[in-house]
Amino acid sequence: MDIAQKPLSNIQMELMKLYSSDIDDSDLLHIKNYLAQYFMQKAIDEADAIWKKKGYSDELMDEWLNEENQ
Amino acid sequence: MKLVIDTNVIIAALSSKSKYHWLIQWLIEGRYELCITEEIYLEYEEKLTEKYSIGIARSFLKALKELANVVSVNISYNWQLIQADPDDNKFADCCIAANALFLITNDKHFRILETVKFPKINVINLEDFEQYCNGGLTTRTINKEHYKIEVDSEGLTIFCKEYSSSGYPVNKEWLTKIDNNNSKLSDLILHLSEKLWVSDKIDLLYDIAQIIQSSFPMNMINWKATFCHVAYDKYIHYLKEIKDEKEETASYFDQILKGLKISADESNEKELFSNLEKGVESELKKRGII
Repeated sequence: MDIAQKPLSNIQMELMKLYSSDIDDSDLLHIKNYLAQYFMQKAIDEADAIWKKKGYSDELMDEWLNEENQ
Repeated sequence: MKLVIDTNVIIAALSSKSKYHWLIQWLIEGRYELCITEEIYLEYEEKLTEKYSIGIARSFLKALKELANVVSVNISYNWQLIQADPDDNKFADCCIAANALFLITNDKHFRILETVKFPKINVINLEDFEQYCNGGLTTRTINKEHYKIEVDSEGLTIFCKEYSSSGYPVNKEWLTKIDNNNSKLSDLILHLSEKLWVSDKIDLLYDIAQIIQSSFPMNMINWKATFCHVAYDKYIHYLKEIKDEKEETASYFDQILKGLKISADESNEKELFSNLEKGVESELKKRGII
């Protein structure tokens, strides 16, 4: 069964409440950068955890790098 | 510097435990522009999910959507340059549409691109790319009568002879070391304005532009752009300082244009160059030289 999609996500709702009026372009750039840093760090931290859990290594990365794309 | 990066390279560089993690750090620091198309985006999502997890894939893609140095590219033409694995064409097409400097991949399928003369795609593997970025800096020296410029792994050093008010060189050499620090660069050029004759100032800026172009690594492209802006400001200033006879004036102006052209080409600051060109032209007209 398809899950019904809400018109807006929770973050969209939150941002609409927070920024009902215009903000400076420079503020917007900063906020975008904070978001980028946050999500990138989250991806990196979780990737680190997977390396540990699954025993990934530089050797394995070289193997993946040099194998042809499937 | 615009790059297109193969999915396997992203996978290998994501974890901070990876020896290739510098590539992701450079992305966060904005040292290059990552070009992606919708298709590449979807492949990143699929492969990151496969090798890591759906959560990691989504976080990574959210970061890409927010980063100012991620360029979203629309493909208007499929060149179909890679027959062996048609899936790889999305990277080649993105590279062409974005006019990217490199396609970073270790996948052998992309080697066919080396034989394609047009459109030209520079394929480079991860190790060579790192070497290209870090290995550009070599020791070099330019020796002139009134100044000396040295480049080594520490940065750029300029030695200038100081002049007394009557125009004779004071036998004391002074040096300023500049690195990837913008305010220092402006200060240095300001100092030089006071210490050298106008013809030497023009020559010096030209020589710095040349040595930067041939010696500095790609990852200092922002620094090169800063130099270009500083040089432009100084050249505009020197235009008014030149008071010599007609023939010499024209040759100074010529040298000014050449100097800025070198640094402008290198750092994609073409607009500055055309502004200066207009400035030089009007100054020459004012003096009745053209």
